Amino acid sequence: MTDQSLIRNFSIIAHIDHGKSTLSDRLLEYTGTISKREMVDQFLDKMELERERGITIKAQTARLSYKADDGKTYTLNLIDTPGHVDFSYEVSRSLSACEGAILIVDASQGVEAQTVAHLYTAVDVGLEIFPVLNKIDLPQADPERIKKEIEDVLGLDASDAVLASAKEGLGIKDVLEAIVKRVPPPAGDNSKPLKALVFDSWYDTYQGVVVQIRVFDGRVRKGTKIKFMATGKTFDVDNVGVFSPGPKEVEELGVGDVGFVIAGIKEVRDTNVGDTITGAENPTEAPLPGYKAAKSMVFSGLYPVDSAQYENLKEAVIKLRLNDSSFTFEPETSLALGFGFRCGFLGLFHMEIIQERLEREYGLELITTAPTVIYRVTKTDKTVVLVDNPTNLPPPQYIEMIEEPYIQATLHLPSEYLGAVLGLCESKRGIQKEIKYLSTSRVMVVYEIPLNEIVLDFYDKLKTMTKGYASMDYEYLDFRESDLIKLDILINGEAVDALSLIVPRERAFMRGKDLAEKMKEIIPRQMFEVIIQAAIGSKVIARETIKALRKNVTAKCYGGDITRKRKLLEKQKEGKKRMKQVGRVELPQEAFLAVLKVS
Amino acid sequence: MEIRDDTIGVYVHIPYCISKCPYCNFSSAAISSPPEKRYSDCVIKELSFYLETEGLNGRRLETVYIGGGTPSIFSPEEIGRVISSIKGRFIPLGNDIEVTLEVNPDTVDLKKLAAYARGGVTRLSIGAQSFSDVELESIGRTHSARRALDAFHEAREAGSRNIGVDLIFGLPGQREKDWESSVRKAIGLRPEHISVYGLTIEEGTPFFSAFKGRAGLPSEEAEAAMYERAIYLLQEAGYIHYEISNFALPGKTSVHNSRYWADKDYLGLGASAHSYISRPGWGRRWWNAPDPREYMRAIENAGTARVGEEKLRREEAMTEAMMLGLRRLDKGIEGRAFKERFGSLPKESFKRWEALHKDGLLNGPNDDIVLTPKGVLLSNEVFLKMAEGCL
Repeated sequence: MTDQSLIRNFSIIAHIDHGKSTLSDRLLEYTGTISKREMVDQFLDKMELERERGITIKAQTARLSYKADDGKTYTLNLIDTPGHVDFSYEVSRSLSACEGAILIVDASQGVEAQTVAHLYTAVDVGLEIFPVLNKIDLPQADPERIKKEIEDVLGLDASDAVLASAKEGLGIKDVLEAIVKRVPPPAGDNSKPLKALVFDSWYDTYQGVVVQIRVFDGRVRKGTKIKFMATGKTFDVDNVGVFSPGPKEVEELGVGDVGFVIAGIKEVRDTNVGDTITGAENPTEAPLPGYKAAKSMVFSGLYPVDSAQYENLKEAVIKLRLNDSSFTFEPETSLALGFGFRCGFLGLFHMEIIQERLEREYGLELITTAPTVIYRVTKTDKTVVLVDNPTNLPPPQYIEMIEEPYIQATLHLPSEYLGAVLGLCESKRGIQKEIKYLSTSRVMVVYEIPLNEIVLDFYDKLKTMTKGYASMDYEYLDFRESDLIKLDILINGEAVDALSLIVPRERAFMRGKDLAEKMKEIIPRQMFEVIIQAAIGSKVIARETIKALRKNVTAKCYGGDITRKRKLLEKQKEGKKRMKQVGRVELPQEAFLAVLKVS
Repeated sequence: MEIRDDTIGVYVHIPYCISKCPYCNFSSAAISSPPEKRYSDCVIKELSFYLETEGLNGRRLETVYIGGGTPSIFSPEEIGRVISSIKGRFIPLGNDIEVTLEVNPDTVDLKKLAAYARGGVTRLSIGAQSFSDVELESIGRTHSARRALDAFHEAREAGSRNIGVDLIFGLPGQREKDWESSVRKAIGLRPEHISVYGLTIEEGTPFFSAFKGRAGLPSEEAEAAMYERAIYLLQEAGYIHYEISNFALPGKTSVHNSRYWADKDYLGLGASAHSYISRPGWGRRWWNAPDPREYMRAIENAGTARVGEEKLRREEAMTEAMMLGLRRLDKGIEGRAFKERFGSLPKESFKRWEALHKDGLLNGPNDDIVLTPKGVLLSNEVFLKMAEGCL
């Protein structure tokens, strides 16, 4: 157990690429938590995927030991937070485990959408926040301008902001001193019943579920009988420990400590992020505030390209779910694609991550259907059904009303792109709520937009039209009634269920036409003619024809050509593995996502 | 015990040309006076190397094929020396085994052709390519249509009774009727063998950049029509369509080239040449340095210029047997031989065969599998589907 007054629990919040991981690396290095020899970039991002994409998916913690200028040695617990809007709830829980946060702002780029979003979350959970201007070594750095922007936009005092360059190792000590001086020590009482926040958990093959906690009251040690207050499940603690940065068992975790608990737990589902752990025999009165169950917002079908791989896929989603309680799945059957799963995700980014992990870590070849939101359908008999797959939309004569989820999107962009971005938001059925100039050159725009539009291609478009300078954050609002219908795609006369989508009635015609055209581009020519049709009910609204292949012959194949020709054939065969046969027609994976590509 | 085929075919690559054609990706260098003697010495030295290291002594020699490049750039003396060296190191299957020389019309005359025959050449393959001067010029050939016809007559006069003529279709600006006219002219000569090749735009050639997106070339539909027309005209004239691009009068198929498609051994000598030994295992192939100077240096220093080698795995050998077997329109994948080698019949080994048969792309007489006329035009698609369903 650590002396409470010498503990500082802090987090680093930043917009993507503003230098969070690099600063974390430097803090680990400076405090000798890890040696230069052990150091790899993005030390806390353990997943291959995290390092490759320069992102944080899972929260990680590290306990640093720092001898400050006042002569005392402090225990600094760094809690690394996931960096994407899809994980905003996880971020808020990680931040709740801290007393303070470092707000990194790129000294040349300034305040971005995620800076604002994360800051508000940190303010909401009552953290002490101090700004660090990073990348001050860059020639474009303009600390004075950015300081002013922080004060104007965020309302945060930036007069004593720390100037640093994590990349060059500048200002690292100043950051550490600021943590000691400005982040308050944890409050709480060791003698009270145990009260600890779960802010992450994962499945470990050898130990079962590992739960990351922050103790607010009381203490926990080997043998403690603990209870998860939201699920009501109880477990006996096998051991407790801290990450420094490798796991290290300790005797006890007391008030203010950040560490892990292993208690023979089999499923991550029993350890929801945001839940409160207390003593089973001597429980605390009320759980920590702010718990909510994770809820999937975006859905898509995952199918194995090779139907024989269904069992492998099943095993893989079950395993992945062990580690990610916000990922949901249930079996689904498609006429076109066979057996698969309808999966729910927190958002598009989460969906991408899950798919990539399934393919990479489990060696699966998958077909993914276009992402969709969940629709609330009130039928004429007044029953309400939730539809997460367009093909399941009841026939129009049984529908009284369809509602779809709306979000509030907050966009930050250079003002020269304002016109284009407003146009985009309008074309996506957005309702303008606010336009605010942050400075003469930067503007903030707030829109209410159907989530379905965001799920399709909003983000890509936004990035393209602003050359990557716009940033976006969003939060869920509510369900609202919309005039929606189902659009079907027929291939050689057969409707392909996995290609159906739900669209606003007034856009159905254009969408169908664009989609049929796009499919024609995507589907390779076959040995017979392929006809693509878009239809609403029995009414065909668009038609495209892919002409049959006429001639594909290799002229010469003599002694010196054989190896090359065979290798070419093998390569093509490999490529074909990504194709799904629907009827007689071979469809590439992109065909199922064509709807994301239409203008 | 397996009865081992002890025959062999020898390919000699002559990597020199009088000028480089803009569509060609073969290993060749345009040069006015190639180092004939030095190169031939290397080929002969390389032969000795493989006789020893590959245990080829005592093999019975079925064919020799001298290709290029433009082998007829070499004098009859050098060509004759190479041929007799090869014959001398093996046991020729007869006195008049097939010895082919590829000939460019611009590099030969009656006297030279007669001298090649005396040097042991028994078969000529004339690269006419087209009988239209406009087309010949558009593909950078230096000879005229007249010269190609003359070369053919000279070859006959020199006594050659086995001549092949090569034609290319799908040329820039070529119309169907232009193509038909070339085919008819070729047939009019009554060569024993005619090859028709669709122009392939190969990466790294001047044509690749010139015809990006195929602009200026006949459409796929026109190309298919030209190919179909040639097949019709040639068959009507008594030529047997025995391989995707090859036609011959009865009994006049290219014995050497047929070895490539029938899993038979061949030794490739010269720059970029490929060799294949079918046993033991699933076969082994190696190939030489493509650059002539590099080739000669390597031979002179080490006796070999081998730069790559592959030992085939079973599935690879099966894929090749399928792809090469199907190219042979008169034989197909031969059921019995296939089963002997792989343990099951082709119809059992390629699970897509049935579907392709239903689609009219393959036929299955007895235990064999052959391409249908429709299958020929889409043969690459058929190969791919067969390969996908390879057990």
